[in-house]
Amino acid sequence: MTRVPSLYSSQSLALRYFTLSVALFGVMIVFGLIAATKYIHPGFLAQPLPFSMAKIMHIDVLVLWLLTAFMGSLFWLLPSEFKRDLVGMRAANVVFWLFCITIAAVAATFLFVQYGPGTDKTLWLVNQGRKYVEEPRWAAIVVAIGIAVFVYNIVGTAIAVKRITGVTWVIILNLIPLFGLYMLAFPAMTNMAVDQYWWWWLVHFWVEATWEVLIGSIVALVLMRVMNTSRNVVETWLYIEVALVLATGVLGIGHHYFWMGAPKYWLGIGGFFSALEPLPLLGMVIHAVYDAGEHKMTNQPAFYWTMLEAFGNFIGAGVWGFMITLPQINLFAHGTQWTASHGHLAFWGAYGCGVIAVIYLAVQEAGGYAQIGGRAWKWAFGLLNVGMYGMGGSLLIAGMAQAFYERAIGGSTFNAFVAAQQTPWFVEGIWMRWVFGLLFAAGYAILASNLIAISRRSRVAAAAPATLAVEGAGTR
Amino acid sequence: MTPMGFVVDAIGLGFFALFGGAYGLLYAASELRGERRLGYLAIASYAAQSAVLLAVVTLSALGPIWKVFLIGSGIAYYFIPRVTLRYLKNLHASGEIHS
Amino acid sequence: MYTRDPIFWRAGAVSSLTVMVAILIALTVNTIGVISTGGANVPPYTVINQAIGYVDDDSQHEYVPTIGGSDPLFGHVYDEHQAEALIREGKLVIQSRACLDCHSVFGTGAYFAPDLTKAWLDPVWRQMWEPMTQTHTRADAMVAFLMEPDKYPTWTREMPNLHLSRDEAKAVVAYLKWTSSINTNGFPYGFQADPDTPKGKQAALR
Repeated sequence: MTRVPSLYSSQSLALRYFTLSVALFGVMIVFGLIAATKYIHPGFLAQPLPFSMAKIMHIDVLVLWLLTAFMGSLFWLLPSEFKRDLVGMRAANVVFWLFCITIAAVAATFLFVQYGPGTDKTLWLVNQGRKYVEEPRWAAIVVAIGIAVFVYNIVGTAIAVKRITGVTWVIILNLIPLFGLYMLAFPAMTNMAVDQYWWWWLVHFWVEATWEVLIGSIVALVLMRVMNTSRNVVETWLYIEVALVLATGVLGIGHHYFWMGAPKYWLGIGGFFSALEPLPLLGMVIHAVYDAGEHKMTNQPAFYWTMLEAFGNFIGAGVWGFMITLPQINLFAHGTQWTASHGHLAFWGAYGCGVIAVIYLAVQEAGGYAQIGGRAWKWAFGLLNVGMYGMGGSLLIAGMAQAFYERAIGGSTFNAFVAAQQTPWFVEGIWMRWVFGLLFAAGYAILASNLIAISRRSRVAAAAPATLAVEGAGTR
Repeated sequence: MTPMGFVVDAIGLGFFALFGGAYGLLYAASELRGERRLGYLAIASYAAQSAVLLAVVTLSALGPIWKVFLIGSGIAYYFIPRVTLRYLKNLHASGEIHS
Repeated sequence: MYTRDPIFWRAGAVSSLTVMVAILIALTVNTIGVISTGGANVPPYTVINQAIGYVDDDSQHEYVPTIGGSDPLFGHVYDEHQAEALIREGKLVIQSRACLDCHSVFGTGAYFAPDLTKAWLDPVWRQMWEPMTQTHTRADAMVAFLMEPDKYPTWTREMPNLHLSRDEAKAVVAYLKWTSSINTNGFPYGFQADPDTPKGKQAALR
């Protein structure tokens, strides 16, 4: 007989966050495809939607789908760590709807208002024009309040239960800088060098420090559930990971400071520490292989996506990053499609795969299934990865051509830029990226329909026999 | 650094990391599964990584400090999979006892 | 064995974070001094009154900006406050029009349109846009283009008309002139600055 687990209220909210996250993932792909099409046919939708707005939607929604998935993951996983529901769930629910309304309002602003006169008012109401954090200030305040409430949900619960595990300590201590750094989304400093200096604190320390630690903690919680790894092992490994990520990642920020007016010592410091970054990632790969061989898995899709996270992180951040991180090479490769290639693969490997794993875990646990059957998830897995690595490879070819013809030979003038964009290598690379983008979109369609199908089945689960095989799935 | 030189260097460094990763993956897989064939492939990967390293060190216009760093990195790539795997085995062995 | 004890690694994580953050803070204090306006690498905003160049400095094996003699922007010499107000407006225009979601500055931004770090020095203004816009100075050509880019299409990717007022366009031009004077450790490499840039007495920025 079916046993659909009753959920903690934070887990019900988590499912809503996952729904939002998967929807945003789709929105990101749509605008990515529009932007990719504009590289081939610049006139495509040129009037209603300039490239800049398509690109803003693509990049900002990337941040949002991952952030909402992180929030969903913690709302899903933490009740079993605390052995109780999270506190402040009424406020958390309000925040969820506030996020939905804000995202819709900001999207409408980007699509229909787009820009305004060069005044502070425009930054408050329309567009801040700073990469990744273009959302107008009013919306950034809503996001800040939302994150603050989220921090309260977790810290407040920890205080209430007076018993914190190692993993939750890491999560809590990590959320504080994550929130604090977001304050750097607001300033509009006149001096671009100083502006970019602090902006990189936000971007680098979110993406290459706090998010790394967050996904590491989430994966730690997932490993305990999917593979029944012992807490002692998981926590030890998490601490090692945090130590290595911070040891290389904090000063690794220097690789963003090569060319923005900062002193020359950043060339050595940034190059050295970021070139060290693949080494801990190699350790993660070994760990993934070990887990794959040693443990009995209880959730196939979650397991495969978790494994891919380790390999994808090594490829995207490790291999692709290592190619361009030494200053002698970065001088030419920086700010070209090569960087875009690295960005796509690194985000996918480090975060995309990880959050998809958690979403599969959640829908399985919510439905109370022992296994997720069928071939759909395998098709999604295959197409998404062929699409993503195809896009990465295509952009790499385009980026190498751009770096060579525009940066190394042409001297980065307007004419050099235009000439490089018209070379066959670049044009073919951009076309290939578009084709692989379509494959990626097809993979997404299967992923989304698979997740919807599983969730629907769980709602009418009374008719479908299943058992709850995973321990700590939120039953009470 | 010449225009062609930087592209070749970047490709070399990419393969350096890629072969290093392949070596780690294959080494761990061969140890855990006890398959000798994977072990040979692991050795081949490390040999390929060393060959790339040798090419970069002798042919590239990178400065001597970066070359020393790359050599050190190549040595680290050899030991990381071994040390990590041994550590994980011990850790899990003691973890199972604790938990 | 202590390496199997999570406490050991927790201490490791805390110490590595402490040490790295301490180093970062020290470097930040130094860097902010260097990149603040008037710092070693970033000239004051009044540099827009001078001729700016970009040359291959053999002693440093890299390209460095040069600050030359008087070269007033739009025929006007800006005092400290005027220059700062103008550049501040330029930055607000750049943000409000989301310029860096097509272009980049210091290589950071988007890659759909050219990097603007040294855009002020690009020979293309004199070669292409001055005749096109029927203006006689680079600054005027830039203003005319920025106000109505759709009127002066140059290749398949046309810049959209973002409805800049004349004052806004002038502010952006001032911003780009100031940006071109920043010492960016040789980025972009090999950029051949407009040879018609008034030279005057030049001194390489260190």
